[in-house]
Amino acid sequence: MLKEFTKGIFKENPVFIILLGLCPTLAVSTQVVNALGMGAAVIFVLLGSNIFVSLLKDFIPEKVRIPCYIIIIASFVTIVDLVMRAYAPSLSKNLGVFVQLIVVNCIILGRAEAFANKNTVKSSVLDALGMSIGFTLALTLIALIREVIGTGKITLLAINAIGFDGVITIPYLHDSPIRMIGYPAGALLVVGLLKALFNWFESRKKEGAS
Amino acid sequence: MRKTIEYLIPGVKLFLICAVAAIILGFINEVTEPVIKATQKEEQEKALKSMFTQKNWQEVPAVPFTFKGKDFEQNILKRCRTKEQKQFLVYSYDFDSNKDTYRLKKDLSLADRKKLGQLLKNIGYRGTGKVESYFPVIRNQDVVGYALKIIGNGYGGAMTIIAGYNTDGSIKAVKLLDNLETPGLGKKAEQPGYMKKFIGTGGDTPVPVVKTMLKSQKEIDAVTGASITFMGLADALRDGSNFVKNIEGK
Repeated sequence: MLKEFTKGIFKENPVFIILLGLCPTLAVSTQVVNALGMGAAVIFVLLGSNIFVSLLKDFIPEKVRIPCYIIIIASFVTIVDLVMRAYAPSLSKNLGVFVQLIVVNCIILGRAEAFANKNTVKSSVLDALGMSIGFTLALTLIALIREVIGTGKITLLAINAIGFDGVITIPYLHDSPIRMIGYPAGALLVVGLLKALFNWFESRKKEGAS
Repeated sequence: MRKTIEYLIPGVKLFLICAVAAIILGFINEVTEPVIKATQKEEQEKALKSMFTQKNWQEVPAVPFTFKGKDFEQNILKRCRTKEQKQFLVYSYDFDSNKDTYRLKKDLSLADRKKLGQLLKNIGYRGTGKVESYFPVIRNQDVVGYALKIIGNGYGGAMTIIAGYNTDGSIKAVKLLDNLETPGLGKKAEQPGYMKKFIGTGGDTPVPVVKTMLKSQKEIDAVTGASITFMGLADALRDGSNFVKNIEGK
């Protein structure tokens, strides 16, 4: 059972192994705080959509399953967006755009189609948690690399109580950052290099086994 | 017959899912809408108070300053349902026969302006300008400035802007409220300091609406990558400045 949870983090990591959800990955990995925001929103929505799709899997007819999933996902996203805007306005200010972006995030539809419609609610929940946490970790890693090299800063959530404005500046890099890494082309390079690194690990593991 | 049913069932089921989703969404919207509106109003108030020290704010709907003669007679007056509505419109606008235009009465009272805005809304007239409403800033019974609520076009759709103006149309302060700009790019406009490039412009110096009108390379770098947001803001602020000049009759 635990395997359903851990597989999304390492073995089937959505970004590095199954290459799902690359568009938001490239777009929002400019700052660490954005990566965390997008991750939180994906955890929310993937959990909800996986639960509903696995609950309704016997009711949804095979022929029109994709439109059904999209309706479920879009409704869930809208509900989360509206409720957040009403009862957690500051959270919504930080996450607002990401929540709406999720409708077109292919991880959500991908997990509905590949997993939730064939499995029980319990394993779908674990799958959703694993996949979304794996996505968040991957996104944060990419954002961390891009922000540190590209701007020489790390942007986190500002905590006013202790006078922390949310930005950590890295002394030497901040003065002469490699700007290109911060631009979209840099995102592709970073994702590609990380993917190569993961493949290298994987092949070494296989060699060790055989 | 069996084939028809085979095709019908998925359709009916899809319809059912849609219907349930629509009902749930409608219900959630009903519950959350008033709360969202209230928080928006609170934010608006906060933005206003950060610009001018004034206790009571009066929101006045923005109405067109001039109508072409033909447009006014054929489009606006025809939509009125009652005689009073027509009379009030004719009372609010002065006819200038030389230029064939109807001009908003300059000394129209605040209450009348409010009434006029409501009336235009009721007859289904949608203004063409970006300025939605304005708040006069009154000190010792003199109007010393205006705060404008402007709806600009950003990269992610409409942006709500609250901007403070001096009476000569120059910009005093700007706050970006509701928007769907891209985080890390257009969203940077929410940060303090972004609006500095607009402050003071709009009076004698024009509002910078294209990048080349900015003063330093640093300012140009700050908007690079989010030009649409910048131009949307600049356009809205320029319209606001013109609006203030129009109220003041300059």
